[in-house]
Amino acid sequence: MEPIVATNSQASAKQFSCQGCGNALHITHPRAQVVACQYCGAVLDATSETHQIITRLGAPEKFQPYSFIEVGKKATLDGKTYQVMGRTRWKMQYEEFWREGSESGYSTEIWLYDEWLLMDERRTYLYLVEDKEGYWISYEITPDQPMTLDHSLRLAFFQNHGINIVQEYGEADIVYFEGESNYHLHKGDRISFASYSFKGDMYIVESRLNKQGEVTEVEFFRESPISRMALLEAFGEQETIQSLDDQRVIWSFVRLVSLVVGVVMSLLTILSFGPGKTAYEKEVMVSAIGQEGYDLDDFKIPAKGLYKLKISLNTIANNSQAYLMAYIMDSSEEVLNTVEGEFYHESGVDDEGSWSESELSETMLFRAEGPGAYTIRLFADAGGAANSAATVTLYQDIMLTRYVLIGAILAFLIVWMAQNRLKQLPAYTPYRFK
Amino acid sequence: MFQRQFECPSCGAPVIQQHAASRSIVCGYCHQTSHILPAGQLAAAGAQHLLVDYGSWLSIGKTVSLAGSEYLILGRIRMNYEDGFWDEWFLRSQDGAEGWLQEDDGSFVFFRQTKVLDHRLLLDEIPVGVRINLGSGIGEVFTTSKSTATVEGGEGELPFRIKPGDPADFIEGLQKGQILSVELLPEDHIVFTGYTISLDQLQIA
Repeated sequence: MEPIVATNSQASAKQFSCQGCGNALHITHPRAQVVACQYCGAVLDATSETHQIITRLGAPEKFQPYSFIEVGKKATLDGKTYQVMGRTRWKMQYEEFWREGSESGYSTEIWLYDEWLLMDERRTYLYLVEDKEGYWISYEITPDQPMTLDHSLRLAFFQNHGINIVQEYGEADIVYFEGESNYHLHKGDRISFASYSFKGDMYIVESRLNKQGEVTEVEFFRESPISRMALLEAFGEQETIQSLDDQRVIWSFVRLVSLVVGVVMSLLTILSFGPGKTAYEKEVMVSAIGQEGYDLDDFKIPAKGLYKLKISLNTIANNSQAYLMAYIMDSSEEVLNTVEGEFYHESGVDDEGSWSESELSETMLFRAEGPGAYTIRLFADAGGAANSAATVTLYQDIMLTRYVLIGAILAFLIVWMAQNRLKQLPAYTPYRFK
Repeated sequence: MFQRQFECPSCGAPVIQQHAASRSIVCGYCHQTSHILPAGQLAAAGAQHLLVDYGSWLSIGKTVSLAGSEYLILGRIRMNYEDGFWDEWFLRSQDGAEGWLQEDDGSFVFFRQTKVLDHRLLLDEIPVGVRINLGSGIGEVFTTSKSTATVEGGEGELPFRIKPGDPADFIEGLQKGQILSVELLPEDHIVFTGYTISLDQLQIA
């Protein structure tokens, strides 16, 4: 008899109907233990011929993936081509470490995350963890100091890590599963876990619990963060990468322009505190201002714009008051605007010593609608300023502080917004497989 | 080079033993597992069972290079447990060193037998996730899992008696950065020590 080389039948893709809804299901992974129906969410035994329903988890429409990764997609990671085989969504209730100043403690949190199973062409596996904050590649590790959580809330799996504060600990259970899995899912399965961080990676001890809450298996993992851009590139999502690059360019441009505008507006705000350029100035003795007022010389306003009119007294007798008012009129003597002021100087002595307080000037902004001849009529109730001189000054090139200030604030708000948008855009950090 | 030929007790086909210390051998034609009796005969053990190939990169007759030594794959045993199954490939080097390559879902652990316990362990009394002293000069081990598995079947030749359908208890643990596996076989409780190895590191030929 000629020797025959044993040719074991090789497991291949299988097709069958879902026991729950009758839809056609495929098993592509030869070692799949369970397969989920993408229509009704039933999880079926992939190993038996009857494909019985093991458990029913959530409806697929309620547990959509967080991002672009989907079952069946392919990715090139570390030079190997992987295919996404399945996704398990875990819900965990846990205690999270916090520290504020000298105080620290744990707060109770609830969080959801997806565990993606990827298989390469050589049937080795990679576990990708995804939540709303990012992505991590999970590796099983062999610690030299295996331990589980105890009341000290400290962990150290490796001697060179020292003793580390537990960042998170709690329990998690499966709320959804899709695709195929190389491990069995059991209804009621839970895990308890505890983790610490070391040099940017998370080190996790995970205990599988049976229905009685007994530990049946303990595993140790290192989760290493991977950037979204690195994953987009791995999954060949060129369209998304291009769109993100475009957004990056646009928001960088917006940030730059807004920054320039903000700086210019800030400078203008500082400049706007200045009096402006003197266009006209006249000094009149208060005693010369009669009952009908005192008309100053005509002056020309060169252009339409914002002007500032200031009236002031050079002095006033102590503990006395005076009143000044000025009309600014156009050539037809129509009053365009008025500025008036109660001026005073008061002084005295109290428990804190001597004090004095005075108000000797008043200003008013007005808008000239066009160039032309204008005049100012002064009125006065001389009071303690009978021997004083009143000065009328007209300033041009006036900027309204509030407008340029609002402009500066708005520009810096846009800078901040653009900066945040840029921060939200995934940065490309090359991932180094360990 | 040792070689001995038997007749399969099930189908009569020639079954060739290549390793003198083998205790079980599986017929390449009808997949009948047989025990090699001291008298130089084969005794059928259990039903014929063909192991389904799930696309492993390993197979009987191939060689793998590990820790500077080249090993020939002589046999394999497949164990079923509640989470699926795993394969244990029996390796032997030219200088007689033996080892086991455990293949489970694309991950590999290379084990070597280190001790035979001088006492019996009861699986139910072994807690998981704690340090226990195994005695027999092994010392403290952190237990990571325990399971009751079933021998699904074998292939090639193996250094102990197997029978498809027989139960076998296992305890796994960690000690000083190494993986420890205790196989609670009816005859002996054997301790194996090993480490994980990637497919890239296995030079399969």
